[in-house]
Amino acid sequence: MSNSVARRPLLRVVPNATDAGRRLADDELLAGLARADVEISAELCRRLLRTVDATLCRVLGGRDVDHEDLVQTTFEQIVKTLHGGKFGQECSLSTWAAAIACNVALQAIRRRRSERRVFDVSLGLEQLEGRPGSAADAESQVASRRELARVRFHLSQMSEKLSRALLLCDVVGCSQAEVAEILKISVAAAQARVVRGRQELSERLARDASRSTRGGS
Amino acid sequence: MKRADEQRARLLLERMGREAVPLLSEEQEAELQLLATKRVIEALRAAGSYHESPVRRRWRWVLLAAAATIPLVALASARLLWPERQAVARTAPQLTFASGTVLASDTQFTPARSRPLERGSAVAIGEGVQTAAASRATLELVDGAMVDLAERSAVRIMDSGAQHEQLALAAGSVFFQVPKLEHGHTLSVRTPDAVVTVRGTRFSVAIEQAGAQVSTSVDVSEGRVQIDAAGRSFLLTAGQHWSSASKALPPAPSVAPAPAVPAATLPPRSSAAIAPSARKPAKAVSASNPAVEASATSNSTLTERAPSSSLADENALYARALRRANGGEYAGALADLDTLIREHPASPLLQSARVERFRALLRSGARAAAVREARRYLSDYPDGFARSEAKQIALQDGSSN
Repeated sequence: MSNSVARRPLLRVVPNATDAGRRLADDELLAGLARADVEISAELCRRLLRTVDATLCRVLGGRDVDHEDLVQTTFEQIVKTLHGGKFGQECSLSTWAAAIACNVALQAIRRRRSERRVFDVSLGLEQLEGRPGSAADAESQVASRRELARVRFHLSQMSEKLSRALLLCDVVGCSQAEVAEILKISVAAAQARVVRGRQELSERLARDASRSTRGGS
Repeated sequence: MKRADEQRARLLLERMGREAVPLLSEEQEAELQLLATKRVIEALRAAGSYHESPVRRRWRWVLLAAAATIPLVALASARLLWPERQAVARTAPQLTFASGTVLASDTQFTPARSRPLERGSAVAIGEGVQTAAASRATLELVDGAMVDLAERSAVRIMDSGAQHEQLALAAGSVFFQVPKLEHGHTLSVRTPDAVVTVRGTRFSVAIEQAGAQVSTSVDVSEGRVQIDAAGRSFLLTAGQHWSSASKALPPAPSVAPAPAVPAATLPPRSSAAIAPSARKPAKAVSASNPAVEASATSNSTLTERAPSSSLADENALYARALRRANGGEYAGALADLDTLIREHPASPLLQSARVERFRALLRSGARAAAVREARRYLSDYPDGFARSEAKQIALQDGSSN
């Protein structure tokens, strides 16, 4: 028995758990991360998980089998960017996390496109089933989901620069200054990307509409 | 018209940003949080090593040498001045193996108060240890007993003293490997409806929950355990099974058609913890107790089934590979794992060995080989317990190439 004790390495000092009642400021979280503090890492995940999860869900149109992996990849990217000093604190940590989640989701969409995986709207349709409401409501929700699925598809087809700017500005709700800061470009360039992105997306959607009209007639 | 189209595109995107997201269940959220925390810690470690300059690395050795000297001196002084301090240091169980997400929590297992545990972490009295899905952990108690937690299991360290160790099983299934204890030393496991007390033995305890009904089941593979339940005490011997749901005291042999040898049926990790310390071999059960006599057949089956030679070799190889990998001796670890995989293709440790193989390759810097191994693992074990980790490795490589 004494042997088994002797084999054991020295005990580690375990820090006290973070006081749950006190909300750490972004600065404190960043300082803790720089120290590789385990407690702070857990707090960071608690703080940002819902933002990351919701952003991935919105950009991808739901949670699928890869969702866990994407959440983990997003957090890995968040830590890498924070550790690498890429976060200039011009926006909140939450916005930064949402921006990274957008990027991860966009990469996933583009990868799926290259793997020829179909954008499945059936998940949305299943969720609509069984909900109370009129048939007209259900129809309009289905149409709405299909429209969003088309938007996602076109975002995956557009240039990454334009898609990222559009997602940050219109989906995450960043200001143009924040988009510029996150993408490390000037405000004017950010504005130009957003405008060009909207133009291209609207043209693609219009082409879709005219195609379906021709198909219908 | 064009402007209206642009406006519409903008509205669609904004609608996407406001789209209602299905709520995560509490369990899903906790699971995601655990995975994310684990990844953050890994990323922090990786980031730290990437940013280390050669000058800083050189100074680090100087600092490490200085830092190592201070505790040694302090320890020597403490032993001379306060011998009782040693007893304090021995009261902490330690995590000797962790795979997947393993957390230390408060007594109520509150997710908000949990912290990730890694190999070598100490667990304080009163703390709980829990494993997430597809995760495993081994705790070494003060008396040398090994406690293997299966996935989605939780135990609390109630007491860890020189004479008595007590754990509470809150969820899931736990396998115990208890060496011959010193005279007067006992180890007990408390479940909601039973207390299992042991001396030197191997056994597993599991809690099954059906609605509000909780039941405890115990399987003994070696030695004897004492069970206190429903106000009565009785002994359970090797090869016997007891469940509080059956209400049979002492256990009826028909209930337990030699349920077996956990070393063979347990998840691979549990077996791994058994090998290195040359535990007592499975002994033939004496049938002096009439209650045991009835189960002599099952016990003999148990002895026959006990994988005395091959499993011990497999365990030894696997345990040595882990020790080598933990010590940074990756070539040796890989050689052991290769031997295990080649010579024991039907081993219950095979999947774990394959996982450790790609981990060791990755940690040794052989990234391309690690990716190939991870892909092979995914192809052979599409639902394997380390599929997320393997996917991650394969995915990262794909993006970098």
